Amino acid sequence: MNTVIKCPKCRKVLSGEQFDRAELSACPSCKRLVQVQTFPVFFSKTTVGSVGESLMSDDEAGCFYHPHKRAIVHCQQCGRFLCALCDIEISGQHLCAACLESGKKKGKLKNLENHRTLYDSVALRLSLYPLLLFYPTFISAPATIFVAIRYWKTPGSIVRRSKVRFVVAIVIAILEIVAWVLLFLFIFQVLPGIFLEDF
Amino acid sequence: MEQGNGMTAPVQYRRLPGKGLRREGFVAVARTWGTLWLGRDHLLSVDTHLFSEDYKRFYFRDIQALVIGKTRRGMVWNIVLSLFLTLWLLISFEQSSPTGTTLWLIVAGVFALLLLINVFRGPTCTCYLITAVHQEVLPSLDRIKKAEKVSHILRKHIEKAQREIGET
Repeated sequence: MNTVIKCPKCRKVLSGEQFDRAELSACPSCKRLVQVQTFPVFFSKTTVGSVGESLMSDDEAGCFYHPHKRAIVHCQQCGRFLCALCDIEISGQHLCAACLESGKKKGKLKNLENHRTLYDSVALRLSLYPLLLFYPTFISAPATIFVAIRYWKTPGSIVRRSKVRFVVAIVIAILEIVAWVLLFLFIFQVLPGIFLEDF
Repeated sequence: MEQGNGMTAPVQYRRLPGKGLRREGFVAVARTWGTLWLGRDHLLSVDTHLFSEDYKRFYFRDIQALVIGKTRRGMVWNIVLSLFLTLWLLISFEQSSPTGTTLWLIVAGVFALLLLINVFRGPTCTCYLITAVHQEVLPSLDRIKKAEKVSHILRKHIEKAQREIGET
């Protein structure tokens, strides 16, 4: 085994005797209860990556990025020849560094995606939070509908699939707009009539 | 579910038990919630912020160990909640009017409920996932019961994936 496991509390190295016990056991140093569960790869030797073999003759194909190294595979995106050092294998595909970067930027490599903006949460919070004061909903309600429609097709969370937050945000925003319309109708049509009756 | 042209079909994830706060410093401006999801060949850690999510993938073939360390946070909360419960009960007994007594008993009842929930959820812990190159804290596994349940689920998938590597 090559990796060292330390106590989460005192950071002292834990011995193999504490591994894979059924229950929590005390750390020899700080006595904090700890449980360590190891898996088969913990005990296997670390394999050193290949740096690529040098070209032995002019007949052999060379790497695009290292012309003196033998190409072993081609990039499945751009077709460039790659040596063992330049070959990046991800999800069964062989890619070069440039295609990996562009694939990540364009969102084509889903396995590399590590951030997403949740526009459905933006729309829902935009419809709900201004309700605390009510007056900001005059602006936030139309903004909510704009955000919901504009980003409806934008991919949301990779673990959540439904559009329910967008729908709820739109419904709340519509109700807020209806409330404002009724308020204006009351102010400009009902109230003047009441004042005129009084006079 | 992958295609040769670089595009990948959506991965189906199964939610694992637990949801916890990622503790970043003594005072954090915005709260970050951590959850764990099980993919076909990897574990997905999702950090949910106010308007965005961050993802980290831990492939089963790379996971070397899981470390669970018991913490005192649960016990501290038990003590704090008990103190407040005692305080509200004392105040309620000191009230001269039935209305005042009832109101303070309601407050005491809320704290009693919180205390019961904390006791029922069990002792707290921190859980680390160990790979060859780093250690990652899993904030969603903040109770020992949850951590043991999830580690049992993960063990089956990890050992199967690592056995397949050994066979090839």
